[in-house]
Parts: sequence; C-alpha cells; structure tokens
Amino acid sequence: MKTQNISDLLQGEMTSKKTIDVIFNDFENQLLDRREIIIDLKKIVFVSVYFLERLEKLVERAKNLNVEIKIINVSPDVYKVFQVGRLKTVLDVCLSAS
Amino acid sequence: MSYISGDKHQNTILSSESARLNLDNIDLSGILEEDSFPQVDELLLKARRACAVFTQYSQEMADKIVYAVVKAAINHSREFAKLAALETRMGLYEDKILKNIVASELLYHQIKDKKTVGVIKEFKDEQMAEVAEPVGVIAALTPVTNPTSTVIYKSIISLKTRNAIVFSPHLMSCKCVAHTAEVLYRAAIEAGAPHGCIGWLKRNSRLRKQTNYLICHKEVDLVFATGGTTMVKVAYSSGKPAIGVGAGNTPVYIHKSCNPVSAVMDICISKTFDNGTECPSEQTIVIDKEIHSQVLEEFKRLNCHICSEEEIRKLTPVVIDPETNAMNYKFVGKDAYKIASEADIKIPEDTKILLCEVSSKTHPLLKEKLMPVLAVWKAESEADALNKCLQVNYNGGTGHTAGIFAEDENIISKFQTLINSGRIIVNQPTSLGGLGGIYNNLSTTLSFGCGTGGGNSTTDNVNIYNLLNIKRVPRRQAIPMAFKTPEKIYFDKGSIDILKELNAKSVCILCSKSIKSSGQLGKIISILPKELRYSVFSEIEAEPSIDFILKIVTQINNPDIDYFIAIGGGSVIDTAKAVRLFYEFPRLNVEDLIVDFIDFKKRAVNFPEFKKTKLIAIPTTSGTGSEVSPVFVINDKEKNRKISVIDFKLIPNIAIIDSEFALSLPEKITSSTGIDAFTHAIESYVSIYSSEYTDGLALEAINLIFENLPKVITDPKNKEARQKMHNAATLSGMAFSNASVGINHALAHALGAKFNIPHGIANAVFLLSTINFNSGIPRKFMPFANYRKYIACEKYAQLARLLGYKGNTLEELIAALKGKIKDLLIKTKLPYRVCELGIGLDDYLNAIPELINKAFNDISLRTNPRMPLVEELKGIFRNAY
Repeated sequence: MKTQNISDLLQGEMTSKKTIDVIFNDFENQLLDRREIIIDLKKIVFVSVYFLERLEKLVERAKNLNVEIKIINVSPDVYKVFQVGRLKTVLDVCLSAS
Repeated sequence: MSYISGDKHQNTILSSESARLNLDNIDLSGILEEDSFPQVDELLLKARRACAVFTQYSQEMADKIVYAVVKAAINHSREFAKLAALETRMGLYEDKILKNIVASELLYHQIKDKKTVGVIKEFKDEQMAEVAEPVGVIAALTPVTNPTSTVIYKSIISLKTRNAIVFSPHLMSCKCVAHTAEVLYRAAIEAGAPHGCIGWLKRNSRLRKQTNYLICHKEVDLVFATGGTTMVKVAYSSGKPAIGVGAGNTPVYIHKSCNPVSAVMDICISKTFDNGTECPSEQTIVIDKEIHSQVLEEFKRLNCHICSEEEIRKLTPVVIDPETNAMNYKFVGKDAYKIASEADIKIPEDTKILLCEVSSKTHPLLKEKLMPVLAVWKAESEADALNKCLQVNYNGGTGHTAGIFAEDENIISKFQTLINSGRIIVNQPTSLGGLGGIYNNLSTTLSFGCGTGGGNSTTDNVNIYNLLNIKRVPRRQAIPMAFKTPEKIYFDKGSIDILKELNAKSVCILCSKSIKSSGQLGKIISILPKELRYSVFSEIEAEPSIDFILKIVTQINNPDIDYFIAIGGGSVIDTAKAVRLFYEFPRLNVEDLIVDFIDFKKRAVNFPEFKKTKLIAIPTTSGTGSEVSPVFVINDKEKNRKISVIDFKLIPNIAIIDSEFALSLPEKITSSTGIDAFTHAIESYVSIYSSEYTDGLALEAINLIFENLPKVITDPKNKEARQKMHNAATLSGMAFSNASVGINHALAHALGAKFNIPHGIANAVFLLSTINFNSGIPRKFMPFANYRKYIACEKYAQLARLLGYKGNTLEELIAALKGKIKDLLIKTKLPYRVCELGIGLDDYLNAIPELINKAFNDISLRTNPRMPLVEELKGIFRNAY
C-alpha cells in the first residue's frame, strides 16, 4: 500500500519540497528493512535541485547500508540532468533510460 | 600587496591592471593542494546542480526569470549605484545609476526576444540549424570600476542562457557586489530559477586565494573575467575555457571634416561619464591642425581646462605613477577638480575635463587614464593623424576601442581598416557608444572583447551568444546533379549532311593524315556550304603535346573563326577542344586548369566561358566518347606526363555520329576502342555519380556492344552493326561524361603509361578484376552524399539479369556477367589478363609500386564505389596478371 502511494507521488514535475520530502523520507525508511529498492522514474518529467540533493543522499546512504538501489525508466531529459549535474553515484545505479 | 582606498596617506598605489583585481604575483600551480575552501566547493556544487536542472527549462521559463531579474535590477538601480560609489569611492553616483540601467533595461531590450533555448537559428539554404547548449558553471570576475552594473549584466546574460554563475568581486567592491547578486538571486528564485543559479564570494581576508581556487575549480566550466590585463592573463592561465576582456587605450581622431561642436560635446559626455571609469572612453584625441584651435576653444567654452605646459608638467606624475609607469589608481574615477588640486592647479570646481597637449609619442599621458584627463595631439596631416592614432592604439589599446569624428567617408574607411579595435565608434561618444544600445546597435555589454591584440579570445561586445555552446546540426545535403550533353547530336548514316546547313562564316577543320588520304576530309569539305571559308590542319598527331596545340593556334592566324570541326578519333577531337580553348584564350596557363579536385562542382579551377566559337565533333572510331565528353588529354613532354583538362564547357556543341566514317576502321582499333566504350559504360553504371539518367544510357550501350562488337570484328563492313557500335560509343560517352568512370580506368591509365599499352586494351585486362573488387564488401566506402547504399554488386547482378541470365544469388549472377564479358573479350580477340600483353612477370612485379602510385592518384578512383587501400591495389594488380 505504502509503495503504491509513493509510486503515485513519483510523477510529473518534482518541484514541491513537501512532496519530495514525503517520497524520500519513505525511501529512507525502506533502507532499514529492505535489501533492494527500485525507484521508477517513468512518470517524472522534471526534477528540481532539491530532488537531486535528496536522491544523491539516498543513494549514498543506501550504499553505506549495503542496500541496493536501482533507478529505472529514467527519461532522457532527466538522464541529461544527472549527467550535467555529474551525479556519479546516481548514474551508477541507473539501469536504463526509458 | 596593499589594500587600496581613496585615502592617499595610507596606501601603496598599485598599477592599473593589478589594482583591478589584486592578482599580482599569482602562481596558479599548487593552489588546490595548498588551500581548500569548503565554502567555494559548496557554492560550486550548488551551481553545478542548478545548471543541471536548468537544462530542463524552456525558453519561456528562462525569459520569465530574466524579466524578473531585470525588473529587480531596475528597481534597485539607485541603491546599487549608491553602494558602489560609496564602497569603491570611484565615479559618479548619477552615472552609476545609468550604468545599472544600461546593464538591465537596455540589455533586456536587446535580448528579450532572442532565442537561447533549443533551435536558435536556422539556415534554410544551407540546411543547417544552430541549437543552444548552456556552457555550464561560470566563474565571473568583476572589476572595481563597474561592480554592480557588471553583476547585473552578467547575471542576466547567464540566466538567459540557462547557466549558473558565481561571482568573485574585486576586494574594494565586495559589499556592493554581494548585495546586488543577492537581490538578483532572490528575484530569480521567486521567478522559478533553480537554487544555486547565482552565487558570490563574500569579503574575507583570503578572497584573492579563493578567487584563484574558484577559477581553477573542477566544477567551473568557463571563466568570464572583466578587468585589467593581469586579470585576463590569470583567467586564461586557469586551464579553463575563458572569456577575458581587459584594458584599453582609446584614440579618437577628430578629422577636419567633422562637426567640431558636436564632437566636443560628445567627448565631454563620454569622458565625464562616471568620471571616466569606462574603459572604452577617450584617452587621447588627435586633432587635424585645420580645426585644432576651434576644437580647443569649444572645449574651453564647455568648461574644460586646457592645461599649460607648466600645468602638464605638474599633472603628469599625478595621473601617471612614475614608479609603475601606469595610471595612478588613486585618481581613477575622481573628478577633474580633485585631480587638479592634487597637482596644485587652480581651476573652477565645475571643470569637466583636463586637456593636456602632448607633442612626443613617448609622453606618459598617452597611456590609459580612467579619469577626466585627456591627452591632445595635433596632427599635421591625415597621414600624421592616422599614425598618431595607431601609436596610441598599439600602445595599451590594441583590440579595445577607437573613435573617429568625420563626415568624410574615405577617412572613416581608412581609419577602420588601419586601427585594430573591437569597436570603432564613428561620430559618437566612445564610452557610451562602446556600451551598445544607447547610440548604436552594438550588443549592450560591460565586457569589451579585445581580440588577440588584447590577449582575448573575442572582439565581441560579450553577449548571450558568448555564453552558449552552439551546436550546429547540418542535414545531409545531396548535391543536385546535372546531365550535360552537346546541344545537338545527329546520328545514323547520312547524318553528316547536316553540315550543308551549317550557318558559319569561317571554319577550321582538324583531322589526321589518314582522314585526308582516305578522302573523308574531301567529302566533308564538299558538303560544306560553298560560301564558307575554311582552313585545314590535317596533320594532327596521336596524343598531341601542349607545344603542338599552341603551334596550331599560332598558325591559324584568322581571328574570325566561328566553328572548329574535328574529324577523327579521340586524339583529333581532344586536339580540337584544346585548340579551340587556346584560340579563344591565348593567355591561359594550362597549370591553372588542372588543379586537382575531389568534387567536380567544388573544384578551385575557374574555367573560362567560350564566347566566339563552337565545336563540331565527327568521330571516326567507336569508343572514346570524346565527341560528347567534357575532357581532353594532352601530353606534357617536358614533364613527361599526360594532362587531363576537364570542364563541361569543353563538351562539343554538335556531335555527328555517322558510321560511314568508321567503316574502314582496322580490326585492332575496332576491338580496342569498342572495349573502351564498354568499360565507360560498365564503370559509369556502378559509379557513385551514376543516376537514372546515366544508367539508361550505360545499359543500352552495354547491350549494343555485346551484340554488335563481335559482329563488326567478324564482318567489318556490316554497316548496321557499325552504326550500332558508333551509337553505343556515344551513349557510353554521355554516361561516363556525367557519371564518370572508376578503378578500371585508374588501373588502365597506370598500366598503359608504364608499358605503352593502348587504352582500350589496358582497360580490357582489368575488367574482370574490377568486377571482383567492386562486388565484395568494401573495407572502405567512397564517401558521397548522394550515394546512400552500397549497390555495386546489386547493379552487376541487375546487369546480368537484363542480359538474360538467371541466378538464385548475387554471386551466381555476377559470375554469369563475368563469363559473358570474358566471352566478349575472346570473341573480339582481346586479352583479359595482363600476362597476355607480353609483359614479363618480373618486369610487371617490379613495376607494381609505380603502378600503384599512379593508380592511387588517378582522379577516376574518386567515383569508384569502393575506395581501394594501397594494399588492395597491389592485390588487384597481382591478380590481374
């Protein structure tokens, strides 16, 4: 149920700090009891600086906790943001572009 | 290094350049090891993320942010100006407001409708688009003379182009820069800009080191430095791409043709603007002697002070520091009264400018002086004035700004040609003129590119386009093809009678001895209209030399020839083409006509247009196609080479394809010229220049030759077969004239030249190996925009099918075609291997390096579908034996 809710939030333009916090707080909680987390960005069309910051932190924390994160279905526009932003840790866990 | 303030008693004075940024004695090596500045890292990390997020912004989103920032800048322009004047103690508050407005309102007016996202320009004719890509994170250095206006201008153009920018201010302007950047940043964020898009270093004791750290930082994509020469050098030494624009020394020529009253007012406006802190402002005025007194009187009338010799002596060390030999930074942006007082010169408080007459090119006051002090240099003549302007221009002002007041367009033209400046301002104040947008349509800027003369990468008024990586997107542009032939081709038996109607006054007939002795020449002369004057050259030799051609041209001695008539084989028709060319253009140098080319349409040769004469070609062999081709080949005996001159203008105007003239052709010539025609056809058929227009001709020629060449060999008097062969040769001639030939010809040219083998026979021995080579998958394809798919093997197979063969695979069909060709060669008693030519194996193998060299440089290769490597040529030559 919870995963479903997060999935619903992960869509459109990621500009609301409140929404981004809800999403990443949930992912951070999942780090404690999951071995793998899949983040599906299929419906994301725009990401903000704050989204990038939270995503980068999540990936780094997961790495420290030995939780595998996979980011899937990244659109080319968002993938370019990761590239220009030189988000190496994030790029490392991106599986493919949608 | 000391801190600079306006207090003369406390400070060490720095040179102009170093003072602009406090960057003397910089050693960039080891900066990153020695120092680490987490606050700079943090600023740049934010900027990096901001420019990443910016990539998603549309033009509308960027424009909305720019509008909000412009509005904030205009609303705060007075506040920013006040802060700048107070902190820097330079310039005038009132003028600094105007600078801020220029950097916001006027800049916005210029850029608001400009595209900076996605496709920014389309070149429809060239089928190319330019697409914008932001440069990324910009490290921006700002000068003390224009701190807030520079921040406004750089922020706006950075946001318009979706870049992130981090400012490093001059130590004397940290507060006003920080405040300006913060106000603009807030406005940008409120309008939706990504966080971190504008950043700034704050005042602290380690600012200089932080600046060095910043410009070398791995997160910085571009250094954008505005300031003095030292700063520019530092920017370019950072190892980053840089736009560094720096100091000037503006000469202004007041020419006798100008309106002196208007010129003087403009200079007053300019030189007093912000107390002269603008670097494009006038530094030295050079006045023609005819108006010298009038100009100085006008300055006086407008409350400027003309210094006496004694006053100049006192003022010079105040303005130009004798120790540094550069402008005294203590007085940059100060008013005339303060500067005069320092020099103990008594003048009214409202004096605008101090004018100092100089007479020597080494006078210190000829240097840059960013204050209301102006050097005046009297010119004895226009040449003297231009030299004096050049003296100033090339001594501290190269590439920056220059000005001229004149109505005489000739002197303006001369001035703009001679002076090396990014901006040459005509009949305007140079400072406000240089800024752009007020007096002219220059890009509004606070950064003046000085080109290489000033150690810069650009002469632009630096603008939005300097902050974009412009991506060029060219579309594939297939070359429009043309098909060219003689104006008229008369064919079949009896077509020679068309000469009865020749509308000419004087003709020159060229033929060989054999044509004359066979009676064919007489026949033609008898057909020509009776009133026609004619001359005959009947000793045309095979493969004529340049000297022979020129000899004929000299002998013609008739300026009224309107037609040349060539009766003969390839050599005669080629000779006629050459004679006609040198007859009309006797001064032509053959070397100018044979410049090598890879694309016929783009070649460097500029071929002349025939205006007086026409050429009628009557072939007596069935093979060369010269009667319809745009080429002639002549011998250069002196350099031991064959020269091919090519141009469509060389195509004969009329070709008469009457086989009566080929009936007595000996068997050997019949077969070798016939196979030459066959090679033209099959090579043009697979050429990368082949088209539907040439394919039809080539196929029909191949068909005719397969059917009729064996017939004329066995029955030379078969008139029908002779005419078919005659037609086939002309058809294949038109095909190769428009589609060119290929590797077969390149190999044959090399072999023929080395072992003196007739061209047709040399072609024959490479026919099968050429098909083998072109049928394989190439290691290298021949590049040509119109050739989109490698289809040589398919075309060979198609040819086999058209000849009636059936096969399940391409290989089977190609094998059948080769069998048919081999059969043709046998039937016509022609060799199909090199060994049949009587060339010994050792001689041949020893010659292969030379053969490869000749073949590899042959122009025929350029249109072969498969590009041969040298090693592959070696293989073909060996296998052909």
